[in-house]
Amino acid sequence: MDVSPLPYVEIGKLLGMLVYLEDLDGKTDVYAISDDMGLEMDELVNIIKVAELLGFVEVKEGDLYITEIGKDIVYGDENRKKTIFKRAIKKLSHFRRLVGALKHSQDQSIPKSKVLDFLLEEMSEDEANESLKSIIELGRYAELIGYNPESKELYLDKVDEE
Amino acid sequence: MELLSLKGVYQTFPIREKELVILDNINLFINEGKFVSMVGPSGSGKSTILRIIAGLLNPTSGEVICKGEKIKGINPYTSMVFQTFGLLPWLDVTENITIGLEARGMPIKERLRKAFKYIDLVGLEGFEEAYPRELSGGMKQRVGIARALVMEPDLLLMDEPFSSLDVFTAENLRSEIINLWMSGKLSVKSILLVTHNIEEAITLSDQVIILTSHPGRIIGNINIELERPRVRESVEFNNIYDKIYSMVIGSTVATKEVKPLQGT
Repeated sequence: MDVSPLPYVEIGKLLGMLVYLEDLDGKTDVYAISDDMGLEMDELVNIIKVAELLGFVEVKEGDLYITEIGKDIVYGDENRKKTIFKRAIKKLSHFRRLVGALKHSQDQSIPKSKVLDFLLEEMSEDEANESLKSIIELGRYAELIGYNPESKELYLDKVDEE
Repeated sequence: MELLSLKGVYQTFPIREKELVILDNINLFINEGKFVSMVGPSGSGKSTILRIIAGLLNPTSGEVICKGEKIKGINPYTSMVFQTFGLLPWLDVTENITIGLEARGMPIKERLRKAFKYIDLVGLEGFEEAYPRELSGGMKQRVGIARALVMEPDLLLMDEPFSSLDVFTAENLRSEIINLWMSGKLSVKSILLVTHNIEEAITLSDQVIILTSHPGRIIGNINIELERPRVRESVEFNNIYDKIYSMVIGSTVATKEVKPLQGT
């Protein structure tokens, strides 16, 4: 069991942070961004955390660097961005396990409430809710996991397509 | 080739037996293949000009000519992206995007085919069945953009499309709009963007029209020939910025000295 809470970040903000960073030649002081962007530190930290988890940035001694994958996202078209995202989130334990569970479930879908229960075994209620929201946001963008708000079910989107 | 022109457009608004002039003799031309921005302080009537071009508002006098036709009523060659997105909360993403096509009487198969093309182009794949309440501001505006593009207008009108978004999201959407525009995948021949953000105007446009306020008047029209992607730190960028900035500020100060502000 190694599913840690996944902070919720908006895809647009994450992508924008990469564009911003690349505009600064791929490197900046973490504290400078917060001042420059008028973002709450908490939110910025979450954006950076998720970007780092996905391998798009690296943080070294208070400086933020864009990685080659991060650059690839900045300059890629929409489909390229999504392909890179999909490859990156597939490596996260949250998605690996969820994809595994979805593959083995009937009609490859699982009710949202069950996914939440599963997350609750590992973390607090707030964290589980936030993680689920993040999984849906990232999963939808990458077209790995879909979520149908009518049936309240998560399902496998286009899992093996690279 | 000329796509749109405004000739001698005046807009006045009656207020306590007086006629408040909102737009004072607006003449402008937009050629095909151009990304044009209008910048100006609030009260310069830039959004009013967009509404007149879209045919949502009839000017008090003057005319709008689009593709050689004098426009009366709704302009069929344009569609608009709004600052506040304007999505219908009870429709999902796909339905929000196709509603305009439905109103045109297009069969459902055709509607969906077109919708999926633009959903793909603006990066909304995966969000097709989401409702607006599930979407962040940035994603909502992508829906707003797809909904305008799906109508395949000749002229895309954008009214402060990034100003209600946070800085990162706006930055990302700007870069995506410019990539789409440069990709040649759009049917759109020209874009007219209204903004109060001078930096945004220079980053995006081939041409910047500068307005002054009370009443709204065009005081400048600058062509920008910097290569894309544009670097904000460059000397050329800064020179253009300073030029536009001083025009906007200069005009505001001058107006204030001459007469008190009318309206808001």
